[in-house]
Amino acid sequence: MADVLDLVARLAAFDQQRAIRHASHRQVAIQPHTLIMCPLAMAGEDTAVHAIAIGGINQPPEICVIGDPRQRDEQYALIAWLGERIERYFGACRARGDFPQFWVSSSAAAGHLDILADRLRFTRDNPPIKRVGELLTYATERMPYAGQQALMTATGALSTLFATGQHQGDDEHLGVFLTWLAPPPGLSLQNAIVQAEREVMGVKTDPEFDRLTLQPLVSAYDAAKKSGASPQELQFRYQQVASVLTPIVTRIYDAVQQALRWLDQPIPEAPVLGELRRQEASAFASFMLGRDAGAALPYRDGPKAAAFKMVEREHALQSLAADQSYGDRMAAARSRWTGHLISGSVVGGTSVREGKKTVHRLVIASEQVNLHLRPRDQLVLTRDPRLQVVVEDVRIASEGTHLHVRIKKGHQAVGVPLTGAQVELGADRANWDMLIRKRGRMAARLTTLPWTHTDGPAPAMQPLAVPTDLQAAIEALR
Amino acid sequence: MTALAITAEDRASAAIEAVLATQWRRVPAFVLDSPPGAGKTGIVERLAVQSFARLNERVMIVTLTNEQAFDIAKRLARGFPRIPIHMVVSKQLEIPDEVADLPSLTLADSASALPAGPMISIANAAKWSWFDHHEVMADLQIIDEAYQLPDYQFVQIAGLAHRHALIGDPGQIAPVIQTELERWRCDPAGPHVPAPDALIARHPATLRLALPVSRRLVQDTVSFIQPAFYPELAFEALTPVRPMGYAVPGIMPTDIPLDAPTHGQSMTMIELPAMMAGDVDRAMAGTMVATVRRVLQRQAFLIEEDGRRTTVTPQMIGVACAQVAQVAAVRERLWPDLSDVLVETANRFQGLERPLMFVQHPLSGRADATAFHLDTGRLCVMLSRHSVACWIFGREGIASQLRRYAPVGDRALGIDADPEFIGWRANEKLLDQLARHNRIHAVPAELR
Amino acid sequence: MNQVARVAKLRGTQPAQELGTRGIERVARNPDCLRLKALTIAGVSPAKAAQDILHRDDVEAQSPFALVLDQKFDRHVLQNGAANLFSLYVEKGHLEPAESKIVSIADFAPGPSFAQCRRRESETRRLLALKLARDPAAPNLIIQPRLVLDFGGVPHPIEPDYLVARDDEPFYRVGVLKSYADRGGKTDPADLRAACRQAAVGVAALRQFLSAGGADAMIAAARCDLILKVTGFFLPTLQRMAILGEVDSIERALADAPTSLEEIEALVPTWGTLSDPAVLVAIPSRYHSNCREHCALWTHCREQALAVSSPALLGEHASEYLAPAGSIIRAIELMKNAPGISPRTEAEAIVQAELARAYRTLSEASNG
Repeated sequence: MADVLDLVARLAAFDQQRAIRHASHRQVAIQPHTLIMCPLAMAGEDTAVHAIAIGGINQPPEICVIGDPRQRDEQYALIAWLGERIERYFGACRARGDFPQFWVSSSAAAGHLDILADRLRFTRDNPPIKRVGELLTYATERMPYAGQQALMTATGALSTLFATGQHQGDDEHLGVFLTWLAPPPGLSLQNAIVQAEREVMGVKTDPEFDRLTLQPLVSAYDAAKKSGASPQELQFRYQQVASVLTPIVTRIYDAVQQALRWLDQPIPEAPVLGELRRQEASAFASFMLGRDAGAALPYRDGPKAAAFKMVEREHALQSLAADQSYGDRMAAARSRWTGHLISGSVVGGTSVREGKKTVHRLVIASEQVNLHLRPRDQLVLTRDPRLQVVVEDVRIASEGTHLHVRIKKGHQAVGVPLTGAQVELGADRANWDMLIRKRGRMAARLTTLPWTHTDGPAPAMQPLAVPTDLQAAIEALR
Repeated sequence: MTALAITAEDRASAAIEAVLATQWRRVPAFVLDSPPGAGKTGIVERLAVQSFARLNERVMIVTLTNEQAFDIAKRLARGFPRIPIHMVVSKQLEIPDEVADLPSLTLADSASALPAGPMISIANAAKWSWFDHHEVMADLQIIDEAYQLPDYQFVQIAGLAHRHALIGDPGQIAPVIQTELERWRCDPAGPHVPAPDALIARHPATLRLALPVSRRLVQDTVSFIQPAFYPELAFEALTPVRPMGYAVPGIMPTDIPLDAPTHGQSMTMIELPAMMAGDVDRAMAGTMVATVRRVLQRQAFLIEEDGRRTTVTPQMIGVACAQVAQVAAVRERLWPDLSDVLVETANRFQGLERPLMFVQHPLSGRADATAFHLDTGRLCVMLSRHSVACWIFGREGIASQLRRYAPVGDRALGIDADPEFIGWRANEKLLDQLARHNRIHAVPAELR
Repeated sequence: MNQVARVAKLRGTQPAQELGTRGIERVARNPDCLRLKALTIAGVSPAKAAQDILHRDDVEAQSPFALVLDQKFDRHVLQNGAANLFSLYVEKGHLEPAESKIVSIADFAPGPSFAQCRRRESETRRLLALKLARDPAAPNLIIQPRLVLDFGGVPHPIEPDYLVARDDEPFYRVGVLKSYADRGGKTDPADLRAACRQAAVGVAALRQFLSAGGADAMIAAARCDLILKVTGFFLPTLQRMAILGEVDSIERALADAPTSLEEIEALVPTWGTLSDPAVLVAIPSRYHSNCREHCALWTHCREQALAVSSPALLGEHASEYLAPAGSIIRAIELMKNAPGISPRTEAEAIVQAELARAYRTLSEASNG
């Protein structure tokens, strides 16, 4: 299983006591105008953003801190500040026909944005705040789609290129991952990791820091506000809070910048990224049209909406899986390992007249033994998918497998591979545009929901008299 | 029916009558739970033929795969050669000659190619979802293997018919959906939920029927399979025993488990010494193949109902493995003389059967924290393919592995279902039963 | 020497703690970890052990903000005779308006003294007995009951958040109150897991009470009620779920406990106790990557795992896959086909072949 490839990468990293590169091509698109977002939440308050740092690649951060996010007006002020920037950014992307991209530190931060989006977009008393929630929802609802490029986690992106020598779950701490990438000199890697772990890199501040530092300051701020303190004192109290939170969000922000620099490796981009960018731009354009039209972004889905979303997600997953290994050496190696790509050489072939056509057959010898194939499966030649073949037989040979295939299509355009030729066969390329047709078909089909999928009662039909011995009557028809 | 259903055959017959009667009674939808080997596809055929020939109705049969569609077409064409059938396929589909040549079968690629008036049409679910007609076009929609159809695919085809028959085996491997499901995990009628379960969640009054017998399995097998994998579905074997014997008596200790079916024990476990084997257990593959050879060497025979003896041939033997790589390891050892033995993964054995089965326990030689519900579905399929005898091969240590890796719970809020735990418990129950009934035989050293 | 005395001797100078449902459910997550089992039986939390016995400075506490929120939410739900909790049940149709018999056990004898704790235990038993006898006076809601769970022959008090039953139900269902956000399918899985498992401890305790009284333990069904919070609002939500797997896990841990006490005593020298760090670290642990979710000793156990380059460091799959090699260092030697290194067993040979092939594939593909 491909798990073993991941395991040996981690073993190799453990051996070298540093992260190693385990990809041949870059796996994520980095928009040049991307927005890095590093929110800090208040512990226990799932939707409270206490401070946030945002900015572009290699840009210093813009930072917003509030005194106490539990105060609604203050929280809304921060959200509004964030919203202004997101609105501007989205507008610029839309004008260019491009798509926006957010970078956060790890999946904890992405999860926090998801909670925020879910909460804010249902705000009733404040349309600008509701709007921020809706715009954030673009990114958070793209996240479950395979191959999406809207909401990126630094840890997730780094792990597409690099393997650390630790458990996958531990990779979610950005500071630790960066330590694996560049172990500081003069310190054992393990000690460096322990130190890195102490620095928060997600959305929560350290509980001891909360207890010893932050809470007293926030309480003092609250007390000052409540007692109607002078503007100078209020400002002072606020600055105290800001002075302890600013370094934290700045550090997380800098770490994400560092991660982006690590991702800028001198290796080619995986070819599938071109298509993924196109998909993202299309998703964004249609999302914004939805915003213009005031389309709802529901929390729960009825059967129709759920079916559409499932089909879209499945399509994204399958299309990515089909195209991922094309032109990407490491991805192809993984596919060969799991038996989804077959490499071999042509050891025989026949060309026989059958009726009006000449039918070409090939026998391909492969060293792989774990092929997921059976008769009637259809494959294509990966170097030119116009050549389509049908599997006729899979036989064990003394050294591997012999694959017997019949060329179904494309032998005139591509030519019939000669004996001795190296060939690679795999599933056909993805048809990314099929989704548009599929959606059209589904929309027509689901104009009315069938009774099986509504809350209404099942249709009542007038029953007929039931004859006796129904089976005998059927047997008589044999 | 007023007569008492006395024998298993009677009970089976009564159940089938009830299923057929639903169409006369105009039941808008029903779910038919069918244990392995119950003759589910035969029910599909009969429902279709009844609707067409006696009720003058239009029937659409829905399968999951093309292979299943071909299978039903063949069965209908051979069983009811006078009844015309249609199969809706795309032009690029490779259709095996034995199907294309069926005289009563017509291929259709669009709604206009189907006849007006009564008809039987067959296609897989995907094809029906792409069909170029969006209103009701059939009186009855029969879904075969309904538990493998997720609701988001069912919603796309349900509108094509007035009435629905969802027929399936609740113990088989559920469809594995790899996309993120976080939005819908708490919805008992979510898009990922198997169609029968989603239908019942939305319409709790939906009629539920069950087939109470298995035609394929013998009672001894049912006594293990039913409590472990089908605790909610009571069923019995139609044929209590199917005896077998050997022309050559057993002399080695390793012949003892092979002799078990001659004493009426249809399920036996052969336990190899404990070892972590990774994804390919070559020693296990060697032992399984050596066992197959030994059975053939000893000239095993089946004893038919009329007393006749049928010698066991390689075509009557199946080997089911958990992983593709293991399938390859077994196949390379069976080659060249035993290539007629069917070797496949559990997934691909669904819908197939053999008199004798040799199966590799999915948890054998592995102990990683695993998705037990998947392994249980696989195990259930593997253990319900045989009509005479089944030998389970596993390395010692599965029981302790089960104990070490008991799932700690990955739950959806407000949803009772815990497939991981149910799967884990089914595995435990099965092993426990096998041990209690002395069906586990330790093999000290690998057979070569 | 009775069990309580044996356990006190085992514990040593460290004071006993009430580990509650949290402590019991965590030990059942890692049944092969003798160290965690020893501490739990002895009534010492892993956090206390890490801090006071091993003197570690990396023990995570709860943030005061989260604590305040938890307390506020608890108060909101349970104040005024649990008025808000009761309304929620009526709103959901799980209790009739007339089924308003609510008892708060804490009212009987609030406080940590021995006498007060005993009083709360006996009041709880009295009320449970009323229900068992189908007395119409039996409460519908019992807030913060105090039950006693026998774990390894030692009584461990546990205080579930509440118990609930309609008049016509044979016995109580355990309720858990958490300030976690109810986000439907996106509810934090670790939080949900902990909540269900804590409820399961309550069910196990109820079943022990029933069995001890000769009643049918199964009337304490493996089900629980979860009170969570609407995201961003101070509104409680109520969800009901089956917890068969969780209860099974706890009951198995309880069944294993007596033999565990003997096993642990055998590992501790007669002159030693668990309060002695040298003795504690010598008790075998079973580190795996999930430990950090529930056990404060994880950083220590991870250090120990690192010292022997245990494959558990790389996760569960690696842990078992590399078991024939025994350590990450050895696995690396095999993977690289280091000179002079050859497999010692057949199992090692199998693993080596695959690791070496994968390593070659990785090197060729990533470097070209």
